[in-house]
Formats: sequence, structure tokens, C-alpha cells
Amino acid sequence: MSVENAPVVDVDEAAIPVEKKMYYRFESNDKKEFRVSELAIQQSETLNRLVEAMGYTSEDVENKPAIAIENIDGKTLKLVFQWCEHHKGEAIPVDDGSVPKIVEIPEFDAKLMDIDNGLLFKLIWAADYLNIVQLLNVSCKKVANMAQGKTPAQLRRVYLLPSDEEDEAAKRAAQEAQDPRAREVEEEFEERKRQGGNSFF
Amino acid sequence: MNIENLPSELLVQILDDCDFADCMCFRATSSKNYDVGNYVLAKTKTFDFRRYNDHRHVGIQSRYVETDKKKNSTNLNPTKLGKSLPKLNELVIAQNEEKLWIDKDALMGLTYFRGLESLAIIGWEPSNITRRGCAARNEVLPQSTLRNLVKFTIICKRETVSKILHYIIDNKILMTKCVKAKFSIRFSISDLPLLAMKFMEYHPKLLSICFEGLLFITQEQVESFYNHILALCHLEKVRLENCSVVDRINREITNTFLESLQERNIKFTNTVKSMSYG
Repeated sequence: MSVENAPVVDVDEAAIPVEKKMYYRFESNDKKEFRVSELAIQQSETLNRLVEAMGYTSEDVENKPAIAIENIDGKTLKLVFQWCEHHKGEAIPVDDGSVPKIVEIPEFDAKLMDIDNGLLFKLIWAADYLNIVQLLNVSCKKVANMAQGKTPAQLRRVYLLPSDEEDEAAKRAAQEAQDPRAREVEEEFEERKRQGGNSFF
Repeated sequence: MNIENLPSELLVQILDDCDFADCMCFRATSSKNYDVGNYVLAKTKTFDFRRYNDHRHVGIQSRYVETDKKKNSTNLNPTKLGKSLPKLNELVIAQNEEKLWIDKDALMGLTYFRGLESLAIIGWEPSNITRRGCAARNEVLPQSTLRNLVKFTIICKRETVSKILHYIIDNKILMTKCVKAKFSIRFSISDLPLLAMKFMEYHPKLLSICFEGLLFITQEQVESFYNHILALCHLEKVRLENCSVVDRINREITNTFLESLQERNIKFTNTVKSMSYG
């Protein structure tokens, strides 16, 4: 049979078995659910190992409850997964100290991290917890860049740092709130000291 | 959440991306951060003052040249630096005429850098110090620092090189580890070639030597200088830039010197040129 006479068969593309992309479901500590592709999850060593250990099939993913990430809130987790989706399939940098680390912040990452500082620190914490090396590198670089040319007073403002006095006051307040008896004991001790007594008991 | 809620290893990673001055400022924010900042600073191996010219907040101390008034205070004088960077290996101290920040005897603070192996001093002029009841003396570099140096560079305008070399030779300071030396002078004085020769005599282990701006008076002096260079048995590289002699110079002297260098596979640039005869 010649090629010209060969019958043309319409191929139903939907009928061809295509390996389906798997989307895992994760839940933040404030009960927000996220769907993340398998490839994006590979950016996080922690999550990758977790899903590997669980050995979910695509039915399991739909039927079983979402995987809970207890330590991270929805707002932060959203940023983390946005980052992972954007950088899915990229090579994960290996930091063995043999090559000097030069980190450049890509445009997408810069936009993603254009957030308030509190959230940025949460993002760093989450990247460390989920072991996302490149996200940790760029977010640390971003925070380091914020310090450039600042005085200690300006740094305190930027990094939301309390001064030593504020720190002590907060500690004292926390202590008082925790144990009202501790304050009474302290006052009693001060009183005795004023009276000249050497021993408290 | 603030930055203090992050674990120390993350703070270290952040500070690793910061420069020295920013680390110093972070260290000053609270007593909690002091230890983390200190840990990061203690890892620093090199320090170049030229990078910190614009950090007015940590402030390389500079003076208005006209009024001699201080512009900024500094945390970067060698005494303070030495305490926060104990593992420093390489140090470049630079000042220019607009920013004369190095105080009298400040460089004695170099003694705090116990691991210092490479020192470059740019634009510093040792001053003459007179105190009541004491004889006048020249400012110097600490002997302990000089003895440990592997690489020593001085780039200056006037008499720094001759004063330092005088001090090294008069006090018989043997820089036994020194293998690389560079002396650059804008205005040479008459005794400098002799001092340079003495320096080479005292330091036969030199692998690389560089002289810039030396001025010789006679061709005998040049010949002797060449012989001193050739007497360095480990020499691998010699650089002579803008070195000249007032007298005429015999071609044979230069040719013999160059042939000897080529025989020993010593890399070289330029020779001493005669000012009068080209």
C-alpha cells in the first residue's frame, strides 16, 4: 500500500495515556490549603523526603487529608510555594564551601520578597525549616542588603530589634505575667536588703 | 517576628553576606547580637580599608585638612580592629591626603593582629613624636608584626620607606618569613638605595621584590644594587619601575644583569634608566 492511500486515522489525544502531573495538598497551621506540583516540591528537601516516604498515589492525594505543616502560617507558606512553583526544575545549589558563594537576587524573587520585614523573617525561617537552599540564600541576601550602610539605631528599626532596656522590660513583664508570686518574693527580698538583713530565709 | 527570633546559624548566614562595617553595627544593636556578630567577625581573614571609605557611620576618622578638625570618629583604628578581627591574615591600611585618619602611634595597634601575614600600608607618613621629658622619636611599626610578615608592601610619597627600612636595619629586625616585598616611593631620597640593598642583604629568602621610584646617584651604586638583587638565591620575580640614576649608565652593567636574570629564569620588568642619557 502506498503512503498516499493509507487511511488517515484521527487520533483522540485524550485517549493516549499521559502520565498525569501530581499535585500534593498541604495545609498551613491556620488551616489554609495549597496544591503544589510534584516538581515544585523537589526544591524543598524536607517536603520531598516527606512525600517520598508517604508514597502517595494520585488517588491518595485526593482522598486522604492534606499534609499538615504545623509550624508555618498560610501567608508564609503561600510565598514559599509561589517561589517553588516559579523555580521548579531548577538545579539545587550545593554549598560545600569549595566555591565562594555569590548570590544574586532574580527579579521574580525580589518582587516576591517585597514584603514587610516580619514576614520576610518568617520566610527565612520557613525556607530553613523546609530546607529550600536557594530560597534561603536569596532571602538571607535580601536581609543582608537591608543592613548596608545603616547605623545601629537604624538597624534596630529595620530589623525590629528591641534595645537592651526594652528587652529587659519585656522579660520582666513576661516574668510577672507568668508568676505573680515571683514579684512578691523579689519585693520582699529588696525590703529585707534595705533593712540590712544578710540572709533572706 | 523580628530577626532575633531566627536561630543563630541563620543570623550567621545573613551576616556572612554583610561587610565588616555592617557586622560591627549589627553587633552594637544589643548584647544578644554581640556574640553572633563577634563570631562572624572573628572568621574574617582579610581587611581592606579602601572599601570602608564611604561608611561614615563606622567612620574612618578623617580630618578637615585646612582646620585639622576631626570629621568622624572611628571604630576602625587598628587597636579596635585587632580585638574584633583576631584571625586577620591580610590587612591593607590606606589613607590619602583628604582623609588623614591614622592617628599618631595608631599603627602600634597592629600588634593585636597576631596572625597577620600580609600588610600593605598606603599613604601613611610616620610622624616625629616629641613628648615632654623624652627624646624625639619616629613613629614605627611594631616589631612583632614585622617579624611575622610574609608579604610586606609600602606605597607612600615621602620618607616612609626610608624610615621603616632604617628602623628595620638599625634594630636588626629579621623578617625571616618575608618572601615578598614591595616598596614604592614618589620622591626618593639619597640614602634609600643603600637601605634597599641592606634590606635585601638581611632577607636572602625573598622570592619577589619590587622597587618603584628609586633614585640612584652613580652607576657604581646601580651595579651594587644589581649585585644585591642577584645575590638573592631564591628570587623568582623582580620588578623595577621608574627607577633612575642621575649619572650615565654603562650598557654592559645592564646587559650583564639581564643575562643573569634570564639564566636563572627570573621574571623581570624594566631596569634602572639614566636620567641624563636616556
